[in-house]
Order: sequence, then structure tokens, then C-alpha cells
Amino acid sequence: MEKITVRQVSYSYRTKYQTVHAVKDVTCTFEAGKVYAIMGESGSGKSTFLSLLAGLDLPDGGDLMVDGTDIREKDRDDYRKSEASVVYQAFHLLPLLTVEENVMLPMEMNGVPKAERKKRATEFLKKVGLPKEAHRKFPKMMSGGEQQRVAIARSLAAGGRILLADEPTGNLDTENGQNVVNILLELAHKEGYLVVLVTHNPDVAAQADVAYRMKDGVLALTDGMRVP
Amino acid sequence: MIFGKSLKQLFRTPVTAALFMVLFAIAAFFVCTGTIIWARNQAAIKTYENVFMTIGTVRQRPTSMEITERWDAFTKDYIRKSAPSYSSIVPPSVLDFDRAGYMLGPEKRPFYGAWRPDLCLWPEDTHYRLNVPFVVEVMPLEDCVPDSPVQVQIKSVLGKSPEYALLPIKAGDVVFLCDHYNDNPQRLYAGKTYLMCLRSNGTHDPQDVYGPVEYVPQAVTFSTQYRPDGTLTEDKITPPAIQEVIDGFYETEDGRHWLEYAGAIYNSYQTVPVLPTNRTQLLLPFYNGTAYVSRGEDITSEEYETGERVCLVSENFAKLNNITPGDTLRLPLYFADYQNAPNDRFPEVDHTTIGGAFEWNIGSPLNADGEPYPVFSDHDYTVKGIYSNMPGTDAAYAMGANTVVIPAASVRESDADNILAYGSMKDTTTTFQIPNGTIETFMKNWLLQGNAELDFTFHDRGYTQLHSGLENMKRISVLFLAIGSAMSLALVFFFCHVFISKNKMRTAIERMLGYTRKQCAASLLSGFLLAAVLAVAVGAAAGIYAEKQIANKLISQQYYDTSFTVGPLGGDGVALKERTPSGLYSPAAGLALLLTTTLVSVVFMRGNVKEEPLKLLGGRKE
Repeated sequence: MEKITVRQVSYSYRTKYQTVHAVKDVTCTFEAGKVYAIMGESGSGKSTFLSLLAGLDLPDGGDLMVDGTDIREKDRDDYRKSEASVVYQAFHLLPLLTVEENVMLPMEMNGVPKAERKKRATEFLKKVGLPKEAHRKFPKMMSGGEQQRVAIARSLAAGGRILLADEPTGNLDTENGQNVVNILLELAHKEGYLVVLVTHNPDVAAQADVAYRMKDGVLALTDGMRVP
Repeated sequence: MIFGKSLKQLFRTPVTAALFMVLFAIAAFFVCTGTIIWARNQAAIKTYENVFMTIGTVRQRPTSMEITERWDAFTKDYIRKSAPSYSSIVPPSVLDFDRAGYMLGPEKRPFYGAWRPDLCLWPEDTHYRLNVPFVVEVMPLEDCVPDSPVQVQIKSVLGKSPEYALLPIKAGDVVFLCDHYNDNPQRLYAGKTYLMCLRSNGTHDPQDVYGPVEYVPQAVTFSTQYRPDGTLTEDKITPPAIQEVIDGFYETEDGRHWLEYAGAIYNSYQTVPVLPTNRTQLLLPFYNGTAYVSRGEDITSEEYETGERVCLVSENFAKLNNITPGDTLRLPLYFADYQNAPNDRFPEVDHTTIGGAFEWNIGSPLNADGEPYPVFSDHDYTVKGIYSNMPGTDAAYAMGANTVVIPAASVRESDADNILAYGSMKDTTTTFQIPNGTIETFMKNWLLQGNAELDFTFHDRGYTQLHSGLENMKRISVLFLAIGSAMSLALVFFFCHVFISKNKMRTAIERMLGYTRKQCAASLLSGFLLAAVLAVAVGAAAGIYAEKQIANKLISQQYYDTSFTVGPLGGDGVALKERTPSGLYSPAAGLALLLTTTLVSVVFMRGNVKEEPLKLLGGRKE
């Protein structure tokens, strides 16, 4: 049962001219089987917060516990490899690998045998609704929606139960965007994944189980939302 | 796994990958070829420095040519001859000038005479070939003017050792006498005794090879003793060529001189010429390879420098006296000739042929007191080696019969009172060694001295030509290396940018997927470096092939011409080939290129992995 507990987490970084306090004293909890949405303006710190959840960097202050273990004590490469994966707005697929190879890549990292990798990749791609003929295509040959599905399939292939999505619908039209949201909802509700998605889109946020709003690094529940 | 994926991604941009490999192979070709040529060239230069040696010989220019007329009794006419004339003798000290840069020398070699009547100096069965002056008393058979061959009887041979009859003439013999070169010969009377120094002149008519041999009175100079500065000690004592012997003549001063002269001239045929030098290779026959140590060892540089009493003897001399390396040879030195080389006074005779005569003549064998020169140095020398003389070589540069080579420094006693002749510097007596490739510099510095009395001849066995070839090769190698290195660096930087820096996002994605930094580096670099290895291998192989084509043609054939290396140097020529660098240089250059590539790519890669994935993947907007 995955659970992320965030207590008074803060994070700042230096730019050329100033220090940016991107995340300020954030406290919240994320649980498996639910979709969490974080809304906010550009530069509000939501993507930075998501990166902290993904273990791409460490908080300056506060605690970020994953299943009761402080993320500082974890091997963060391992954490990303086997516990949490991220889906980005820009998909971030490796352009010189085929769709299937992109999905197989995290499994390779985890030492899954080749035949098994291939089988599971097919399953994950099927799960996100990509037809078999698309498996041997290169990402550039596909639409944005399809690429985002590949990115989700790749996240699933990593084997982690925490899915972090940074504006997953940002580059997609409404229909494709909704399809991606549906996939994420299904993964949370039917398969018990912990899904945190960062979005601008209130329609997307409205479909989440819990929606937060982030402003100037401070996280708060959106109006009408109950405390999770 | 990572490696395979890396390669897969690299070759999915086939044009870029191929372009990189082709260009890098070309750059590697230049670097490898340049390196091998450079290395081979350096090795060749080093080897040539050891094998080649540049020596200079010095000759004083004659002030004028002196025309002399000599009567010829056969043609009844004068024969004109020209001979070089010197107003003064230039001392060898003028060669000690600033920036001469000698490695050895200059040495103006004398040669010494060592009197060894106990040794055999020519084959015993060839005494008839000894054509030397000897002093005799003759009695004409009838009154005559010897302007053509007249018969005289030999009354006695003076100075002749009774134990060892060297000369092909004895008392009682009737021979033909002709004052061949005197346009006004004196009348001789039957019954009178005349003293003269005779020498065989062949037949009166040179064309009549079967005619009787005639003997000709020689002009005699009892003494020509010189001081070390080249001036005569006393005026030359020159008696008449034909001296009537009257009662009590041998009690007169002239008579005593004649007797001393007869003995001394006879002793000179029992004299071994001894040649002191500072290096065997300074002697032209050895330098040219016409003489070489065939048994035992050469005298070493150290032995020359320390003046060890060691020597080299000729093969003929060793054979005649059953000498082998390691034997001891006593050398009682009694005169020094600063004018001639041994071969001028003791010309080499080919023992193996029938023709030719032993025409030895040391000139004036008495000192200024009219006495034989006393021994000034008498030591045992160890025979280190036996040298062979190649037959049929230029007689002017031959070693001279029975010549013994010794270190100059081994003669520690002064020869100041034993100088029998003194003359100008000649090719065969004056030599020095300068560093290879410095002939032009030497001459430039010499000309600054403003001395126009000396001519120099340099011998470098073709080093100058070779050196210019090597310099060309060096330039080519440097050009190749410069082009190759510049091209390689440009390519490495450009393609590191293409394959690494422009793939920062790929690194970030891989990091996001859980790759460690090392794995990310391996993912990007392994394919790139493998492509570099393949390109370098192809370039290096092409470099080896091209270098073989170039170097074999240019160095082995053109530059190292074995016509410069006869005798023992031929062996060095073989060794030279063996010393040329192996094919390891190309792989070494390739390896260096790969190391540079790896280093640069690692630096680029550090830039990639240092970049925070968070920033790249869009988590932070700066």
C-alpha cells in the first residue's frame, strides 16, 4: 500500500540573479488507489514539487516519506526505477528507440528477461490502447496523444506503483487529453496506482479524487475539496 | 544491454554516424601515418648518426706550379714536368678557429719508422721485386760517358747486411749503367772506382720490355732534418750523384756521410711504417671501407683517448710474420715524416699478383749531424686487430705496405729531433671529424677566417643527401601530424557536441527512468567510442599500409644507398634496416587518439550528467 507523506517540505534553488523558493512548507499525504491533481499557474512550483515526489531532487527542509521511509534514505535511482515514475507533458520518449523499445527500457533496467519484456510491453501498450502496428514505430511518427500513452505505458513498465504526471494532457487535444485522464483514473481506481498529476486544466483536476492548488510554492486544497 | 542500446541509437542516425566514422578514419590515417613516418625518421636519424661520420681532409693550395725540365737519355730531349710549389707551409694550427665544432681533430698525422730487421716485410721469394735505391761502388769496364747504357761491374754494395741479403744485386755483377736524366753526364774511366746510389730504371727504351735493365745514379741528399715548426735544421747536404773513390775517401767527411747514408738507406728497407691517429675512421682507407678490421677488434675510442699501446696490423704483414690478435709487436720508432703518408714512401704492393715492385724510399735517412736517426720511442704494442686492404683501390689513398696503426696518444716521447721530412697538409695526412650535417656551417665559419690557402674535401658517405631526404620526411610527418591532430580535435569536439551535448535530454530521461550517472554515461559513450575505435582501426591500418609504401621507397631505397657502405659498413646497413621502428607506432598513435577522444567525450559527458534532470525535464522554469 503506497503512501507518500509530505511534512513541511520546502525547496529553493538559485538562478543567475536570485534564489527562488519554489516549494514552501508543503504538508500533504498521497495514498494508493487515488488520483491527486495539483493545479497552479506557471512558476507556482507545482512541477518542482512533482520532481521532489519523483526523487529527482531532495527537499531543502521538511520530510518526504514514502511508505514510512524518508526519501533521503532511499537510493533515489532505485526509487525511480522501481517505485515511482513520471509522465511529462513533453512525453520525453527516446526518439531513436521504437515505441516497444521505449516501453521495454525500464524493464531492461530491472533485469527482466527479453522475452518477458516483450510480452509485458505488449500488455502495457494494449492497456493504454495502442494497436500492435504502432509498436515498431518511432515516437516522431506518432501523434501527441499516442506518444503520451507510450509514456504512460513506459511508466507502468517500470513496475512502480506511483505514477506522477506533469501536465500529461498539456500538449493534447481535448479528446486525446480525456483519453489519457481516463487511463490514469482507471490505473488508480482499478489497479490501485497512486497517481499525482499536475495540470492547468480545471476539467482534468475536477476528475481527480483530490485536487490541490499551488500558489507561490504553497499548497492548499481547492475549494469544495475535502481533506483527504 | 546498455552498450547494445547505445549502438542501436547511434546507428539509427546512420548519416551522422557514417560521416563521423569516415572523417575520423581520415583523421586517424593522418595521425597514424604522420606518427609512424616521424618515428621511423627519428629512428633513422639516430641510427644514421651512429653509422655515418663526416670527416674533412685538408690540402694546402700550391702557390704556383713549378715547371721543371729533365733530360731523357732515350729520347735525347727534355721532359717537362710540373710540380706544386709552396711559398710557405701553412701550419695546422690555423684550423683551430672559433666555432669550428670539431668532434675530432684536426690531426696532421706524421708517420713513424720502426726499424725491425728481424721481421719479414715482403714475401721472401719476391726479392727480385724490391726496387729500392742502394749505394754501390762500380768500376766501368771501359772508358765511357754513361749517356746511354754502359757496362760496369759492381765492386761492392755498401751498408748491406751480410746476414740478410735484401737486394737483387751483389758484388761482381756486371750491370748496365746510364745517367739517364743528366744532360751532361761525366766521363767515367776504366779502372777507377765510383760511388753512387743506384736504382733500377727498367729498360732504357720503355717499349723494349725484354731489353736489359739499366741502373741510374740517383741524386742524393744525406739529410733533410726539420724542426717541429717546419724549418730545416741545417742546409741540405747534397753530394755529387757520382763520386770518384780515391784512397782515404772514406776517412773524409763526405766519405763518412756516404757510408752512414748507405747503412741508413739499407735500414729503411727493414722499416715498418707506423701511423699514429686519433681514430681509425679518420684514415681515409678505413673511412672509405677499402680497409677494414677483418680479424680481432678495432681500437676503441677509449684506447685512442688514453693512448693504450695497442695496434692494428695489415693482413699481409700479419701473414708474413705469423702475427695474430693478442700478440705483442715491438715498435722502436726512429724517424717521423710530417710530409708524407706511409703509402707515399712505402707504397702498397699486391702480394698476390706477379707484377709490381716494392719501390720503397724514405728519402734522406740521416739527421743534420749526418748520422742515422736514433730511436726516440721503443715500446711493445698489443695487436688488437688485423685489417684487410681491398685490392684494386685508389693507390693515392691506400694504407701503405705493412703499415701499423697506433693511437697517437700512445707515443708519449717527443719526436722533435727525429723529423725527417716536413710538408704541407694533404688529403692523406690531415683529417678532422665534424658533426654530421654541419659541412655548410663549418665552411661558413672557415671563410670568416679569410684564409684562402687551404682546400677542404668532405666525406660523409652521402649523409648530406640523406639528411635532406630525412628533413623532407620530417616535414611530411609533421604536416600529417598537424593535419591529423587538428582534424581529430575538431571532429572530436564537434561530434561530442552532436552525440553528447545535444543528447542532454536523453540523459535526463534515462536518469528519470532510474539510470545511474555511470549508466547514462555508458549509454551515450559506448556507441560513440566504439565508432571511434572502428574508425581509428581503419585509419591506422591505412596509415600502416601507406607508411610502408612511402617509407620503403623513400628511406630504404633512395636514402640508404649501400654504395656508400662497402666493407664492414655493409653490416651496419643491414642492422639499420633492422633498427627501423616496428608497426607498433600506428596502434600507439591510434590509442593516443582514442584516449584523447575518450577524455574529451568524458568531459562532455560530465556536462550532461551534471545537468539536473529536474531542470531539463521541465520541472523548473528559470
